[in-house]
Amino acid sequence: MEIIINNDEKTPLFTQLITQIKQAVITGDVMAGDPLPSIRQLANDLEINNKTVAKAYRLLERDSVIETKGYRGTYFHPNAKENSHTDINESVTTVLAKTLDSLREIGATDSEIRIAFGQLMNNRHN
Amino acid sequence: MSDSFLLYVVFASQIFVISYLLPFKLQQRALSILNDYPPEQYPKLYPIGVQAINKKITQLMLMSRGVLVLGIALVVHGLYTQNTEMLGWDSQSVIMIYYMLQVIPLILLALFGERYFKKMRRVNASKIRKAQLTPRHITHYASMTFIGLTAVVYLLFIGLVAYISEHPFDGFAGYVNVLGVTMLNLFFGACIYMNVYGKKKDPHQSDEDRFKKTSRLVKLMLFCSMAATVHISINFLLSTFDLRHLNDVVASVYYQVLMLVMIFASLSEDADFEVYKETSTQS
Repeated sequence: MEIIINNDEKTPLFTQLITQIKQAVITGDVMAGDPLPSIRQLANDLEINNKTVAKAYRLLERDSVIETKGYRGTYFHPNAKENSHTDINESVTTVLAKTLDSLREIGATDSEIRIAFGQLMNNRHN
Repeated sequence: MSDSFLLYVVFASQIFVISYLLPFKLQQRALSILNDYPPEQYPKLYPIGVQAINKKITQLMLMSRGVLVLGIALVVHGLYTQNTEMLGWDSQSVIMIYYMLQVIPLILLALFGERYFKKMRRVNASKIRKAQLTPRHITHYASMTFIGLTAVVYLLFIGLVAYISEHPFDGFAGYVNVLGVTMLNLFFGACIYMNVYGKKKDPHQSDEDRFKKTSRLVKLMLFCSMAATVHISINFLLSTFDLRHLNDVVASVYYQVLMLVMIFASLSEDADFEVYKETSTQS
């Protein structure tokens, strides 16, 4: 199974990785329990930063597409195929859309919503 | 055959093999590639001009010839003066130092190769990058038998050191020798690690070629580890049985075998040169 990334594409590299790995699971090119290359190996082969691959692996693990077993390495999750269909971005958009509708119903302006959202995000980081 | 005469015969062979035959074979290979895969049809193979490549080959050949002449001078001097030790000094040291001079052109060639690939990566205009989604392990490149044999040779060496420590010969450094061989094996291990998991040197190389080259290198490093350990073990055994005068001959034979194996492993490469054509989309 080959991963192909394009440095010229607007899509971030880690997103390209996640998309292709999930697609590989869905099409059956890889199976549950199959091992993945180490972060260093994949980063070296694709000539990208380790952190980019690490971010992709972190997000895939969050979505339960892969699982890390410590020193033994990283493997595809037993339920990788079902979990690969999950798109958290879709969930984020849905929840935010509902929240926005509720806020507009109570009369909040777009500007007020943006400022409050920005403040909450900053507080979360601090 | 006296020991001195045997030494000079073996040393003459070392001079011929490492300073004539091997550079000649490498030059032949380079010229053959330049002839069969010219830059007009295989532009991706030439990040620098052919003239620069020819100049480098000529420089390295001249260096090898210089070392060859020095070696011949050493043999003539030895046969003329009839000294039991080369240069009236210590034959093993002379052989080792001469060997280090012999490999300088080959080391410079290897460094040139690294710079060559770096330039190739820099001029590679392709923004597409590919990788296999399968992990690589050393066992993909060398059999467990080969790896196990290397480990056994190392363990036997430790056993030999322990045995000799009970009745050491003059100058025996004891368990420090184990440290030395361990450091050497760590070096070979690091070479294997860098090639198995490291970056692709040649950006256009096909996955199949990369696998073949890495396999060749892993086996070569394992062989070098075994050869070095066996060589040191033979030295110890010769010293233990009061046959130190043969150490010089053994050292020279070892250097020749090592270089022959390394160079002919490199020359047996059957790379796919189609990836260097302008229309190739390999990388």
